[in-house]
Amino acid sequence: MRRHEVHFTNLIDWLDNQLSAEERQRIEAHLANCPTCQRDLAWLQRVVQAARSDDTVAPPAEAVAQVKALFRAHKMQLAQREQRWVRMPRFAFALALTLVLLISIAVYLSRVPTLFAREATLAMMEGTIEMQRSGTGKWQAADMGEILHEGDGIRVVDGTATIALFEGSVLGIQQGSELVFSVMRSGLFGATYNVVLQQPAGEVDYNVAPLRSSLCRFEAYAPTVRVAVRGTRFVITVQDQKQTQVTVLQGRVEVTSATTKTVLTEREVAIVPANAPLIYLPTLTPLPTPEPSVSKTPLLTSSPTVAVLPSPSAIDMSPAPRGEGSHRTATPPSVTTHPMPSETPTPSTSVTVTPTLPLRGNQVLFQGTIESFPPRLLGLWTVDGQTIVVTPRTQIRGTPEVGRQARGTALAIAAQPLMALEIEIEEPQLGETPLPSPTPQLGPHPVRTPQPGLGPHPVRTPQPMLTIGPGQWPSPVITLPAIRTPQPMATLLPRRTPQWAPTPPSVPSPQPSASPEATTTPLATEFTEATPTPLPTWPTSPGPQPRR
Amino acid sequence: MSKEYNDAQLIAACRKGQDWAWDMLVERYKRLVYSIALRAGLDEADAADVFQSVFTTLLENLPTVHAPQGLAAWLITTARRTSWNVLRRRNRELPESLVEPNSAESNRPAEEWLLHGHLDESRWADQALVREALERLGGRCKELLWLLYYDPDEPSYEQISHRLNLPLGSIGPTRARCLQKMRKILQAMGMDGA
Repeated sequence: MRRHEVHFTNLIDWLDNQLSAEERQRIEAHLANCPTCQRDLAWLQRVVQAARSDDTVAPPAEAVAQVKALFRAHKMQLAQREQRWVRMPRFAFALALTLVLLISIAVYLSRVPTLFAREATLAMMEGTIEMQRSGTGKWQAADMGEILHEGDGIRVVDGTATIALFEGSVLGIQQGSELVFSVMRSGLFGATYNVVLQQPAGEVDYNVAPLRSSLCRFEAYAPTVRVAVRGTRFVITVQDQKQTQVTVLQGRVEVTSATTKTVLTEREVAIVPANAPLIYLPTLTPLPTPEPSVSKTPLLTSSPTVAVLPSPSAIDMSPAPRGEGSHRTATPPSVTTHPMPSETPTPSTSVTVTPTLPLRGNQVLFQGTIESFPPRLLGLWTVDGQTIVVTPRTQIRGTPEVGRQARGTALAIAAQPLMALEIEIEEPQLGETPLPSPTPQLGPHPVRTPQPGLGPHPVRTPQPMLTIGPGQWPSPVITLPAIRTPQPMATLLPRRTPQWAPTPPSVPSPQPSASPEATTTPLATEFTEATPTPLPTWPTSPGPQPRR
Repeated sequence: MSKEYNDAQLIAACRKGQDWAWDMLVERYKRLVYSIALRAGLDEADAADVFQSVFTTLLENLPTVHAPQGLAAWLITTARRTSWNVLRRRNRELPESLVEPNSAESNRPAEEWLLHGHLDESRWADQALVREALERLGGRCKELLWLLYYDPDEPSYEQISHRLNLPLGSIGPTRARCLQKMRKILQAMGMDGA
């Protein structure tokens, strides 16, 4: 207590009325102006009043002892409950907060599609495959099972390669093709991802796994196009640095070029030039039921009655002015024209082939003797000296054998071999001497000389089927890519073949023609099969039937 | 002199199972609770029951008592309620109008006290603390202050001087010193305004 002119004792005496009148007045006068003494006096009054008014009674000692004993009996429970009460809320709160935080972080990370670098795997390979590690600039041999990281590249020198991406997509890379894995990233748990591939050359079959969310991205870049995947399966064929073909086998893809942005749906095929609008090719959609048409004209001939485009080596490689249509003529061009579908078929000494199905767009007919075909059927066939490309989309009826007659329809694309849509192979008649045609074997396949494309055939002269009008095909002349032999990826990819009209035309038994003796000169483009793989199941020929 | 604790500190110690804290709480407020029951008109046996019941309730609610600063008020309210329940069991004819201040029944001392006794609650809490502080003072101060403020005979200074063998002139200063010591004790015990 501070020392005042009025002491604490004075206050006590004032409270107890122990002061004289003068002292009382002096203290009261002081109290009127001293908050400290007022507080002290208030406290004194409170304590003195409490003490003097205390009439409380103590409870019996036994009752007090019993109450104290109660605590001993309950204190263990009290201590445990206290710990629970103290810890549980704190622990529960901390746990809840941590869980919320972790979940929030996980949700955020799962929605960021570029967090984690992912890989691709060289799942299958045949032939010579090379890879280039990111930043090294060196190509080196790749082995089966090779792990490819972001930034790595892969190219198929010869053969084919199948790549499995981390998100489930499968890529089929053809011979002469190259692919760079520019971006391969995903978010947490792989719920979102970004895949960006660059295809500078060749043909790659993209079998893209369905996108898991709207945050996922799968894009493929070729020289003239960017393909953004919305669907599942498509093929990009880099024809040259100024032209890329996109074929959508399943689903939808968004195609973007310098001048065009569009969506291609299932079975649409388009060529994307560098600086020109898209060129839509005939779709892969099934054709309607053909009109019944019966032809008894023998179809066998050593001379093809179908006009074909000149073989690649005979194509004038000089660039033509842009926008001008030009005949894709050979040097020297000399082809027999084929009556267009709208024209009345002209009978000739050679066999007139009436198509089983109405031709559309760039579809043409072909017919001739099978001179060679790949052991696995996919790849380059030679029919009467004409190169026909058989792809997984080609429907073959009959048993291919060298020397047998075959006919069919094909797509004629500028400066490229015919791409067969369907091939029907004649079965030998009973009693006829089977043609001396060996079954397909491994190794170089016996073919008839000369090699296709090395000049006009002594029997027939190909001539361009199409008249290239202005604006139809961009210039310059397309350079054929390296010969490719698409491998059936039946073990990895679902095969989709369009459903053509099932009923083949009724044809008489073929007359074997004098086939030149087969030589063992292999085709430069033939491939050797390292290990046999299951062949696709071709539809069996139902035999001659009346044409509908 | 042992250390002084306020009500909040004793409650916290009781929650941790400290026997001494519970004993201190019981000693601090035993008179308060027991006397409320007696003022309600209960006999000693019922008052003892009320006393045990109130502290049993406190024991059960120790983990969840949210107003350790108002423990005295809580004990007073609980003692009132418990006493009221005992009274109703003993006096079944007690009318419901008892809660009406102007009812004829409110003239009965016990009920009136239960109705209006809340005005004395702060003094009852002070009484418990001051008495405990007095016990903690011990020695000459306890005797002096007891004679000055608690002795119902209210002895004079001369009698006190004679009893304590204390010079008459020193009673005042000694009292002042003892009260200042008590003030410190009461401050530690949480008496506001001390």
